[in-house]
Amino acid sequence: MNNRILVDCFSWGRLLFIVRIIMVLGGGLTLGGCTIPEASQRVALVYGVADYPGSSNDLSAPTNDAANMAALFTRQGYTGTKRTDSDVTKAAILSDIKNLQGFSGLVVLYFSGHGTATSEGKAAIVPHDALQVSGQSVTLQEQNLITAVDLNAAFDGAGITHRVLILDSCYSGGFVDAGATTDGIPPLYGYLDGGTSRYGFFLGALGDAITAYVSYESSDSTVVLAAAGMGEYSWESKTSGGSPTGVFTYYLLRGASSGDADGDGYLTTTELYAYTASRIGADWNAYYQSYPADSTQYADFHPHVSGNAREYILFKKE
Amino acid sequence: MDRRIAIRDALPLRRGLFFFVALLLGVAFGDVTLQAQETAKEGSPSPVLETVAYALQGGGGVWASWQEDYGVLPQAHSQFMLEVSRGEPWRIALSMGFLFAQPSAVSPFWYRYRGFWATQFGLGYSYKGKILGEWPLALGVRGSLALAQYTYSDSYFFFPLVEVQTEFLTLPLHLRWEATLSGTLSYLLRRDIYNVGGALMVTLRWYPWKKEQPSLMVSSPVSSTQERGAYE
Repeated sequence: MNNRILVDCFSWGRLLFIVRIIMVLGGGLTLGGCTIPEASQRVALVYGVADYPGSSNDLSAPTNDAANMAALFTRQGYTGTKRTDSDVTKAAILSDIKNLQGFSGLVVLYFSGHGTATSEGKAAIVPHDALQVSGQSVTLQEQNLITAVDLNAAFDGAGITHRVLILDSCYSGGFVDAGATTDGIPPLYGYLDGGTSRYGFFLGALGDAITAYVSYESSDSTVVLAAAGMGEYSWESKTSGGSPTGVFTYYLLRGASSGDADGDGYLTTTELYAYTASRIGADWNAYYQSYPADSTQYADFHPHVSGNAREYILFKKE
Repeated sequence: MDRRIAIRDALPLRRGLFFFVALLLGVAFGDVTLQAQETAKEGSPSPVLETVAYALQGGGGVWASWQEDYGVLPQAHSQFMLEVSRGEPWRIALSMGFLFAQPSAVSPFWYRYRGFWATQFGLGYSYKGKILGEWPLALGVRGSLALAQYTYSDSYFFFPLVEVQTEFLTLPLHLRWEATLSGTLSYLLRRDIYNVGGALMVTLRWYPWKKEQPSLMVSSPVSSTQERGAYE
């Protein structure tokens, strides 16, 4: 009996010692992972179109959004270009990317303005020259829309491998590539639309996740943070006494100071997604859900983020 | 429309997976319940039943993670598993548990590989014996299927993983309890990223039907002698 007690005490002590070693090792690895190197050079290309040709398609917020985002990028040490309204043409955007030929750092492209779908059903952003006034009406110049294919081709052509796309525009979820994952947020989010989640419980995602695994061919290199789903509008608003702002951009800007979910002092694309989604859900969507009977007031939407295994640090916490 | 097609395509896969797991469970452990009932009647467990063990396993380690055209970055992870096993020296084990991956270290271009958590179901096979000299080792392989979710996101993904595990230190703790220390090499068969690495794991194993008291320090004859010396 005494013998057994002696053995038990001895073994438990050794076991605790081993567990302690593993905890120290794990802690060291975690701390090692937290050491963040100085950022290489980063470029921000910022575009906002509020004043479209004619008056029927004008927006209120995009030029403010572009100014606010450009200021944030500058404070964070980015260099780059800001264009607004009639300066934002397809040729100008693609040329700005082309001019980065040989740049090896991170490029972030931000766009605030209209989004639409091409006649082939592909999501596109609408530069200023994609609308033209002819007589009394405004016509869409589809050849001047910019799709994900156009942007990726431009980035690839310039040899840019580190690139992030932030879109505050309608249907921008169409730019998001799920890659080897399945997105739990429906493209038309909402209680009266596609629901608030595609999966009621965690294992409910298994079938689609297996399908994504089996059918995966390649990932889009661009990490995309989109304001809205493939089937929904992105909204703008005016804060009390303030300037008009895109709802998504408003929370994106606030995310630089309040969105650090893991507390490491840096904001990644995933953390900014999580912050904007949770705030839009709590502040914007919750308000509009109080008008479920009036579909014209029903304006809920949900951001989307790429399924890429890679995420980028965009900001230091402010 | 696309969504409906995706679900319909996935159904046979899900059914196949379910029946495969059920078949494995039946083959590996179908007779254990019967034998336990007989033991309850007769009071003496069968030799096979004596080798049945339940285990709690936990530990942590690091992978090398990389995507094509991007850098290799270290990524810490931890794992917690529940396991039921039978047989000796050849042991078959079914396990389920959780895998937690931290985000990787950050590259100079300010990207990192995303953290995630996963739930996994595995089947393992191992051999325990004096494989290298007098020192008893258990060497085994485990294949698992995992469903994961990226941290702070709504993106889910599936992947199989293969682990090679060696238990190199066994500590008898009590009549029916033992603790083991093991090293694990793992390879995650993900579609868009490579994760290869190792981990240190501690396993606490319980043999509910074991009759005999384990000898002192089964793993190490030298330690066993020292232990007796200390007692005397």
